[in-house]
Amino acid sequence: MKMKKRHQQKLVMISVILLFLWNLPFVSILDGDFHLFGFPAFYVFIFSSWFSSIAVAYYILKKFYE
Amino acid sequence: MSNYALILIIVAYLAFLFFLAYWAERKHRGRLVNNPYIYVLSLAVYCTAWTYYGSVGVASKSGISFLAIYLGPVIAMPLWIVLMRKIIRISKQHKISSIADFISMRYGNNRPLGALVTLTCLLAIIPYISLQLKAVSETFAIVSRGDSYTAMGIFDDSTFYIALLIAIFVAFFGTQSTDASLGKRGIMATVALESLLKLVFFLAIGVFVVYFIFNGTTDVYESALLTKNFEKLTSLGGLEDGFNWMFTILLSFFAIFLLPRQFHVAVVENQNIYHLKKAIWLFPLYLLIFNVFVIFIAWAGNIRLTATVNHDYYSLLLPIQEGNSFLALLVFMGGFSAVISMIVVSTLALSTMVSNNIIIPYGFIKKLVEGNPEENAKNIKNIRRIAIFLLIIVAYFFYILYSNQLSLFSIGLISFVIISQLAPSFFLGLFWRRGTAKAAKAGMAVGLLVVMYTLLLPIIVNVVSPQTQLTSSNVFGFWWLQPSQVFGVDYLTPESNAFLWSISFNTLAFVGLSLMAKGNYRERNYAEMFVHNENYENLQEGAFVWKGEAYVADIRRLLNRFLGETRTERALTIFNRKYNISEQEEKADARLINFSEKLLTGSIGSASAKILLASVSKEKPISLVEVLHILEESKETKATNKLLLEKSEELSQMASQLQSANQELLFQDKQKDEFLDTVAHELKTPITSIKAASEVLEDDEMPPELRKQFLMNISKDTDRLGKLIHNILDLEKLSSSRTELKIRNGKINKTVKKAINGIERIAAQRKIHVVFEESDYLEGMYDEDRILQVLTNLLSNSLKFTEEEKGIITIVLEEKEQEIAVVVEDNGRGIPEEDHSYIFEKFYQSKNQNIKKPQGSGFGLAICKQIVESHSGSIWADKNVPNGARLVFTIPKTT
Repeated sequence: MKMKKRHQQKLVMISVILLFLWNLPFVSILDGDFHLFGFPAFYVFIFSSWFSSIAVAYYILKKFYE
Repeated sequence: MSNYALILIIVAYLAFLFFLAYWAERKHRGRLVNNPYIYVLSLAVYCTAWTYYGSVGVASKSGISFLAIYLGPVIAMPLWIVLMRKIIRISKQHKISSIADFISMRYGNNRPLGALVTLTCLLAIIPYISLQLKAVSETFAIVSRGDSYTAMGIFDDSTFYIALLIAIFVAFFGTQSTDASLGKRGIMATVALESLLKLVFFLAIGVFVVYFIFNGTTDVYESALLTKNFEKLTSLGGLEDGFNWMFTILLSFFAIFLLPRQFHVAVVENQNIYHLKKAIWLFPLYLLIFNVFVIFIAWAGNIRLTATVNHDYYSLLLPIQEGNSFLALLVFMGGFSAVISMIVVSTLALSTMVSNNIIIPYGFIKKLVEGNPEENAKNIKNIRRIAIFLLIIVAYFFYILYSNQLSLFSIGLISFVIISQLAPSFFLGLFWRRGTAKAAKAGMAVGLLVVMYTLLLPIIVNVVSPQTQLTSSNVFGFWWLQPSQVFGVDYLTPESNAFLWSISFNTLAFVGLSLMAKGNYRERNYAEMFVHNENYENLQEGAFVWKGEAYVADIRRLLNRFLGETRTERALTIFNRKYNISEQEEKADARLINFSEKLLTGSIGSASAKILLASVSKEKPISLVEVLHILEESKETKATNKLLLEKSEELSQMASQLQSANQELLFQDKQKDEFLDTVAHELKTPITSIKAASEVLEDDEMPPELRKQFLMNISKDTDRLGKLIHNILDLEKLSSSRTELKIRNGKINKTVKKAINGIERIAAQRKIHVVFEESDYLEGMYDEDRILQVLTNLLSNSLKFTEEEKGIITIVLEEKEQEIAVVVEDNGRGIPEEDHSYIFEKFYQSKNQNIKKPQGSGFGLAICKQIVESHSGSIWADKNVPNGARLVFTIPKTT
C-alpha cells in the first residue's frame, strides 16, 4: 500500500491546477455566453473540469497506488 | 399530509436507524462495515441540510456562489494523498480522538490550547446544528401543511422531540466504549446509508423537475431566460465577485479538514488508510452528482413559484405544487437524513472534545484519579452523554431564539469562518516545526476576536435593536473600523470580509509570535514527531523524549483506574515483550510514559493524560538541543540495527551457499576417486591379461593354434586399452572445447540410418528388434560424425541393457519449434530412479554396476552430453516411462 512520491505529486498537481483554473483571472476567461443542453457556459466549464479532475485522479490512483 | 402520519414515518425511520446501528455494531469484522464505500459515504456528511435546501436557495437568488462550497473540497481531495495520509497516520499513532486533541498534542499536549480549540468548535457548530433543526422544523411545516397545526410551545414542537431522539441515538451508540479514538461502526453505517438516501432523493426531485415538469434541461434553460436577473444567476460577475468567490472556495477548503465532524469521519473513523484510494476520486464524484440538478431546480422554482415563498425549499414546494405529495415526502426524508447525520456526527465529535478537553482536564480529573475503574468508565461515559444532551438542547434554544433572522446559507458560512480560525495552527503545524503553543493560542484568539467584531457584532446589534445602522456609520469616529468594511474594503460580502481579516491577523500573530519566542522542549519534541512523522513512525514510543523519575508500580496503579486490571496487565505485557523489558523492572522509562499517555489519551484526552502522568512522575526539564540529539540518536540506532540485521542475514545466506558448494565439491572428489579406481582397474585388467599371455607365449613348445589364440587375446586387450584411452582424451578435448565441430546442414534421417547400420550386426546376433520411424524431410545443423557418435552410444547402451530376443529399440524424430528431438527408447531394465540426475556426469557409474564388473567405461553418456551441448542442444532421460529407458536429445533445426 504505497505510492511513490513522484506519483503523489501528480495528484498534488491536480489540486494546484484546479485552484488556479477556478479562480481569477482564469475563471472569468471561460465565463462565456453560450449554453450546452441548458447548462450555461460557466457551469459547462466548471462541471467539465470537475469531472476531468476526477477521471485523472482515478487513473493515477488506479495505476500507481498499489 | 397529516401531521401525525408524518411523525409516525419519522419515528419509524429513526427506529430503523437504531436497528441498523445495532446490527452494524454487532458485526465487528463484517465486509459491509469496514469497507471503502462506507468511508466515502460517511465523508458525505459534509452535505447537510444547507447543501440539500440552501444550495437551491442561493442558486435561485444570487447564482453561482453555492458552487464554491463544493469546489474547495474538490480542490482539497487530491491533496489528501499527502495531507490526510499524514494526519491519519499521526492520529492513529497517538490515539487521537478529535481535532482539539490533534492540535493540542501538536503543541506539546497543551491544556488551554485544547480548550480554546473546543470553544472555537462549539462557537462554530452549535449555530450550525440549530440551522439543521430549523430546516427540519420548516420542512416539516411545509410537508404537513394539510392540517393547520402550529406548535404553541416547546413541548408542543415536534422538532424538540426529534432533537431529543437524535440525542438518545448518539448517547447510546456514541459512548459504547470509553476510548473515544475507537471507531463507531454502528453510527457510521447509518451515516453512510443516510448519505446514499439524500443523494438518491435529491436526484429524484431533480429528474422530476427537469423531465416531468419541464421537457429536459434545455427547456428549463429557455424558460428561465425570460425570468428577471437571469444573466446574474449564470455568470461569475465582476472582479469583486471573483474575490468573494475565491474566499468562499478557501473557506470550504479549510472546512473539509477542520470541521469537527469531517475530522471525525475522515480521521477517527478511518479503518484503513487504503480507503483513501477510493475517497480521493469518489467523494468529488459524489459532490458533482449532487450539484448537477441544483440550478435547474432553482430556475424551475423561479419560473413556477411566487417570489414570496422561501427559496430554500423549492425542492419541496415544486412537487407539492404539482400535487405529488409522495415525492415531497421523499425529498423531506432526504433532507431529514442529511440533518440527522450532521447532528449525530457533530455532537459525537463535540461531546468527546468537551469532555476530553474541557470538563475532564479542568476539574474532573481529581475525582477520576481517586475512582475505581468501573466508576471511572461510568463517569467518563456519563460526562459525554450529558455533553451530548446539553449540546443538542443548547442548539435547540439557539434555533428558537435567533435563527429566524438568518438564512441557511449565511449560518453555514459563519460557522465556516469561525472554524477556519484553526487553519494556521493546524496546517502550518503539520509542516513547520517552529510553531509554538503560545503563538497558536494567540493567533486563534486574535482571529476569533476579529470574527466576532466583523461578523457577529453586526448580527447581534441587528437582532437587539434593528434601528441601529452599525454598518453605515463610523465606529468610534474611525472610518476604517466599520465591522463589515474594514479599512474601507466595501465590495466583500460580510463573510468574505470577516474571513479575510481574521485569517490574516490570525496567521500574522501565529507566525510572528512563533518566530519571536521558541517553544519549550516538550513542544519541540511533539513538533518533531508530527512534522517528520515518517521518520519516527518506526520508532513509535522511542520518539518521545523524557527524562525524570517514575516507577512502574505507580503507572500501573494509574492505568488500573482507567483501563481495569486485565486490560492494564495485557497492555503492559505487550509493551514489555515489544521492547524486551524485564517484568521485574521498577523504574519507568520514556517509552513507558509515552505508551501510557497514549493508552489514556483515548479515554480522557491528551491534556488530561499528560497531567495524570505528570502526577505520578518527576520530570526533569531537558534542553532543546538534548531533545533533538536524543531523537537523532534513537533514529540512528534504529537504522544501524536494521542495517546490521540485513548484513547478518546476507552473511548467513552466503555461509549456507558456501556449505552447499563444499558438499558438491566433496561429492565430486569422491566420484573422481571412485572413477580413478575404476579406470585403474579397467586399465589393469587388460594389462594383466596381456602380461599373462605374453609370459605364456615365451614357452616355445606351445602348439601353434594355442599360440594364435593367445596372440588374438593380446590384440583384443590392446584394442580395449586403446579405446579406453581414446575416450578419456576425447572427453577431455570436448569439455575444454578444444575440438572444432564441423557443423553442416544435414538430413538427420540419414544419420540415424547410418547409426543403425553400425549396430545392426550386434542387434541381429542378440535378436533385438530395432524400429525407426522415418521422417525424411527434417534437416538440422550438426557435425555428422559427432552426432553419429552420440547415436551409436545411445543405441549400444540400449542393446546392452535389453534382454536377448525380447528387446525392442525404437527411434523417433520429433519436430519442435526450433530444434529436432531424437528419441531413443527401449524396453530394457531402465534407469533407476536415483541415477536420473547423475547419468550424464563425467565420473559416474551406476551403483548397480559395482556389484559386477562394470559394463562400460563410464563416459559414454558424458561424452554424449558434451557433444549435444556443444551443438547448443540438450540431452535428458525421460522419467515418465513405465519400463525401459527413454533418452532424448535435441539438435538445432535448419532455419
